[in-house]
Amino acid sequence: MTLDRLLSAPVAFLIAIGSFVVAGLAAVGRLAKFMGTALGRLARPPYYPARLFEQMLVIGYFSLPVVGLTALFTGAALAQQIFVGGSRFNAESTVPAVTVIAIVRELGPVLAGLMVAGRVSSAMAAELGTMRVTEQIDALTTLRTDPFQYLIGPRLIAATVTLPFLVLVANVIGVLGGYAIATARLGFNGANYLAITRRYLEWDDVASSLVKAAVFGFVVALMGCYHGFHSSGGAAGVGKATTNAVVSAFILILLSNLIITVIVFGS
Amino acid sequence: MTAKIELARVSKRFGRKTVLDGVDLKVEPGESVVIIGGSGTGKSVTLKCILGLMQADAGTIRVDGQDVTHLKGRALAAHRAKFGMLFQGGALFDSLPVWRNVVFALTQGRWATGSLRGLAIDLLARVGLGPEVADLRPAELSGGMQKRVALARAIAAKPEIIFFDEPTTGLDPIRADVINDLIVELVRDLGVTALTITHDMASARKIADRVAMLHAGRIVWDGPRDLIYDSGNAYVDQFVNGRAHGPIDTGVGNG
Repeated sequence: MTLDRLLSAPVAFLIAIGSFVVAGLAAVGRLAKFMGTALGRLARPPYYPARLFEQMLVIGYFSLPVVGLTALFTGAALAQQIFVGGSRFNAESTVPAVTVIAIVRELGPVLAGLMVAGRVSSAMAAELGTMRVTEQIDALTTLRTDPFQYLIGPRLIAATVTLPFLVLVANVIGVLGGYAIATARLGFNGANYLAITRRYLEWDDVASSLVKAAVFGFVVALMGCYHGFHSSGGAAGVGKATTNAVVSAFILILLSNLIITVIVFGS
Repeated sequence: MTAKIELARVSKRFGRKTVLDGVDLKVEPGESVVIIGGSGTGKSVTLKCILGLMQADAGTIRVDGQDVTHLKGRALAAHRAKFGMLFQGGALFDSLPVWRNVVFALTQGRWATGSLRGLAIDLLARVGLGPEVADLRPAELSGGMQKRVALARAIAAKPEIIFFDEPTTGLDPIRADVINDLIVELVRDLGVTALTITHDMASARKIADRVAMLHAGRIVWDGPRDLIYDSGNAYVDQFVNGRAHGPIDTGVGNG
């Protein structure tokens, strides 16, 4: 084997890494530009209150069942597990306190965010993607309506504003799920359980929950809109945009959750 | 007289693929020009560059003598107000009922009052549709009816120029001819300038005052409609007669 060929394999490897990194940075740049444009045009008229209301209904109200059920089941399972774990060092009594903190600080916002990402990011990417490939977005522009103001702005605002409310509901239902299993199976006294829950819940927990919810809501809408808006290549392209929207929303929710938990409310 | 639309050496590339390679074209006021050419020769890109939906990489585009190649913001919006466009698939907004689609250029998505609904019904009548379709969703209409609604939407804001992107694609020959008649009638009655892109020769013969042929990113022939079967241009001959063999590389056989 000549020296040339011996060297070419590592060089090709480096080129592959390089182009991967460059493509990644380009994608981040495109997303940042998209976000900048969307936020820049939010403040400027015209506004579309009817569109905003419609999106709040779709994102908030129609997500209630799925978010509620998720919270109920998770809260119940969590209380059961804390009971089992706690019993190993005689700490069964920590069930109400640990449940409420875990639900409010972590599981409520994260699970609600993920469920809404599955429901809403995908739907937004599919709708905007279809509008893109059927030239409806071009038609909007030709009819002198800014797609950022008409399509994307209402979605971003609606998701960011609505998700905190959804998470509040999820938190309450999650705690009730824990309460239900604790009183029905684990021998807790109902009034006592709720009293402990109230005593250990701090304002900081709720604030962290709501901040997370707003960020997740923004992420959900941003990923759905971004991938849908930039989809191309017919039905297959819309399918790909939908998958990318959900996967990237999931990852960004988990990543931003970590950042908010550690940096903002960690100390 | 200034040309209504004038393209000079307009080029556009996507990555390494050159789609437009110096397009020169003039459209006079009140004229109906049809651009013919095979699939993927950049016909749609030409229209999108004029509308500012895409930016040309080189060359200049003038409308009413004004350079519009690099317009932005309000100036671009004002420029677009001169145009109506009929998109290939209709591109109706499927979340809105038909009548809101028709008057969208006037409402721009804001809440519309009852008087605009009346205007929408007048416009629908103009394209041969009854008031009963006004409250339907676009998905409930047939392809031909969607094209008509899209046509009504394109003329709603009284544009000076109308673009027709493959107006007869996806329609049977009879319905295609109905659309052709409608286009001829509207262009004549409204006194607009029309630019159509198509590969349907029956449609081109009916709509056009003048025909231009786009091939490999350039206008290779430009002349009055009556000369297209007698153009003396090998590309045009091959295209209008629909022959697989000739100077246009079809990508199959040795053509």
